[in-house]
Amino acid sequence: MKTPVILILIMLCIVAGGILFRITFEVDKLEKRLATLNHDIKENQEKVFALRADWHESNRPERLEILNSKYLKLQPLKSSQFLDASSIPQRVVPASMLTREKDPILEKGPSTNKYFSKAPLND
Amino acid sequence: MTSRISFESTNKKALEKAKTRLLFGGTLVALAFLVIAVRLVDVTILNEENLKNTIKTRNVTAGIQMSRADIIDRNGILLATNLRTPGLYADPKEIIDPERAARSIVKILPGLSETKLIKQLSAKNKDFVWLKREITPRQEYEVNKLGIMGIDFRYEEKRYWPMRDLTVHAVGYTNVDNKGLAGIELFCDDILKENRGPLQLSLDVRVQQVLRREMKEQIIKYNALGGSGIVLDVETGETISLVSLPDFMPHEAGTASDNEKFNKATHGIYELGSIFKIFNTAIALESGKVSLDTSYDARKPIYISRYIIRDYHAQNKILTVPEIFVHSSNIGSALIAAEFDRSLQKRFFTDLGLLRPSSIELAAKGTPRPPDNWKKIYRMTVSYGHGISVSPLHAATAVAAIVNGNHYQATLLKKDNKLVHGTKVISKKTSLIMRKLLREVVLKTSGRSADATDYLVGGKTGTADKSQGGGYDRSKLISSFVGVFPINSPKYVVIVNIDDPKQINKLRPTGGRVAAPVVGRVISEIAPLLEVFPIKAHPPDTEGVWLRNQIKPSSRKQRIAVN
Repeated sequence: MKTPVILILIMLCIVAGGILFRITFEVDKLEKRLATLNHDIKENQEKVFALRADWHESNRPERLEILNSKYLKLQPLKSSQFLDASSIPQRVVPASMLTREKDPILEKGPSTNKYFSKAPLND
Repeated sequence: MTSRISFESTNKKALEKAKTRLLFGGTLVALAFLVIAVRLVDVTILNEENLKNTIKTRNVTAGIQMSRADIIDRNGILLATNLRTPGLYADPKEIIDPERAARSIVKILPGLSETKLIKQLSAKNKDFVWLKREITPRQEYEVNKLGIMGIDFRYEEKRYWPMRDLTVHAVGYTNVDNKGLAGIELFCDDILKENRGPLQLSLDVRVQQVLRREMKEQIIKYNALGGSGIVLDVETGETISLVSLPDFMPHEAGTASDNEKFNKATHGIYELGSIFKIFNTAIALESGKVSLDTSYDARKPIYISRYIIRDYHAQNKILTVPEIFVHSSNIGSALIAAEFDRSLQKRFFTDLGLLRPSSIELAAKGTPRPPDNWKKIYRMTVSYGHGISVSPLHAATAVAAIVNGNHYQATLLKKDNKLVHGTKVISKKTSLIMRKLLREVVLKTSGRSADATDYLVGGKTGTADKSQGGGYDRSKLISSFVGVFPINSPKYVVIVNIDDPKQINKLRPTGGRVAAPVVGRVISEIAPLLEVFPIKAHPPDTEGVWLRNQIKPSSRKQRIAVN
C-alpha cells in the first residue's frame, strides 16, 4: 500500500520538475524575444523622433509658402471673404410643411406638470 | 540442520552488508537529487538577477527619455527637439595602419583633413579620439562598411531646431553638449534638463512667419540695417511673435555675427520717438491735468536750454490735445508735459514697466535708460520719446496696458489655465479715449497705411533720429509703428521698428511710410489666424462719438506757451 503511494509521489515530483524546467526555458526564450522587441521598439521610436522632426521641418511655414507660390498659388484670407451668419439667406420652407402634426407627448395622457416642484430650478 | 543454520547466518551477513551499501548509495543519490532540487528552485523561482533584467527590459516600452525636453509653439509645432546622432571615434591603440584608415575615411567624410586624421590615429598613448561628431546615417553606413579595426561610433543626443532661423531669437540655441546658450534654451535650461514633457511657448509660428516675411521685405526695400517686430496678446501679455532681423541659423550660431545675434526686440534699447506721445497723452488725461478741449499754441518752436523743440508735421496753429496727438506735434506734447509735476511721469512710467528690465523669459533683456533726472527739460523731451530709451518689447507692453487699462507682464510661455494678474494703470474712460485717438491716427493722419480693412486698427507712428555719441544724426532714423486691433476691444498689439531705412524718391523714411504698411499687411493676414474676425460696420461704442463731436470750438481753452 505504501510503496505505490511513494512511487506515485516520486513520479509526480519528476513530472513537476520536468514541467518547471520546460517553463523556465520557455520564459527564458520569451524574455529574449521581449528584449529583441524592446530593442526594436526603441529603434523605431528613435526613427519616429527623427521623422517627426523631419515632418515639422518640411512643414515649416516658410517652405510651405514657397511650395504654395510654386504649385497652388493660394492667397491669404481677405476680410471680404468673411460673411456674417445673419447675412446668409434662410431656407424657404413651403407652407405645406409648416402645419406640423400634433406632438403626441403634449396631447396624450394626464399632465405630468404636477410631479414637478414649484420651486425654481437652480442649475 | 547445522549447515542450514550456517548457511542462513552467512546469508544474513551478506544481506546486512548489501543493505548498508544500498542505504549508503541511496543516500548519496538522494543528496544529489536534493542539491538539484534546491538549485532548481533557486534558478527558476528565486533568481533575482533574472528578475532585475526583466524589469529593466520591460521598462523600455515606456518610451525613450531624452536628456532635454522638446520646445513647442502654442499649437504644438516642434521648435526644438533632441535626436540621437552617431559620432565617429577611434581607439588609436587598435588601429593597425593609420595612413590607410585615414585615406579611406576622408573619402567618406571629405570635411576632414587627412594629415590631421593620420596624426589623430597614430596617437598610441590615447584610447579615445573624436574624429567627427554628428555624422549622417549614410556616412555611418559607409564607414561601417570599411570595417576598420579601432574605428567605432558613439551615439549622442543632438539638439535640433526644425523651424531653423524662424524663431531663433526667442528659442535660442545650445552648444554641442546641449547646454543652453541663448533664448529660452538658456533661460529655461534647468526645466528643459529635467524633461517633464515638452515646454510650450506662447509663440505662433504662422504669425511669426508673416511678421518676419513682411519685415524682411521692407528691410530689403529700404536698405535698412535691420529691425524688430513683436505681436503681443493684450489680455495676457503672451508674446505671439518675436522677430529680430537679421537673424541666423541656430545650428550655425558659432559663425553668426554680433549684429545677427543681437536681439533687437528685447535687448536693444532705442529712443522710440512719437510712440511715447501715447503715454504722454494718457498721463495728461488720466491725471486730469488737461481735458480734451484744452489747446496749446504750437506755432512756434520751443527754445529751452540748449534744445529746440519743433514739429515735423508742423500745423502752424493752436492745437487741442487730440489734435496734438493725431498730428504728432512735438511742441504740443512738450507743452502738455511742462504742466506735469516732477514725479508724475516717473510714477506712471514705473506702472507701465518702462523703467525696469522686462519680465520676459529671456536672458538678453535691455535695461531702459531714462533721463538722468526728471527736470522740466527732460520731462518735455520724454513726452515725445526723446531722452528715454526702452526696448520695443517695453513699448508694446506699455501700449497694451494703455488700451487694456491693466498692465500685464510680457511672457514667452503659454499661460493656459493659469490666472494672469494685471495691475490697473489707467481708468476705463481714459483707455477708451486713447483707443479712439489711436484709431483717429490710422483713419486720418500718419498711420493710414496700417489700416487693414475691416480689422479696426488703431496705432501711432514713431520716427526718431538715431542718437550718436551724445547727439542726434538726422539722416539716420528708427522708424516705428505700433498698432492695436481690433480697437473696439483690443486683442493684440503689433509693433514694428525698422533700423536706419534709406530714402526712396527723396521721401523721408518715416514710421508712417516704412513701418505702418508692414503692420497693416501683417494684421490683415494674421487676424483670421488669431480668430479676430472682420467687423464690417463701426461697432457701437466708437460709432457716432468721434472726437470731433466732443470738442465744441467755443469751449476751447487756449493755453499759450510761455517758454
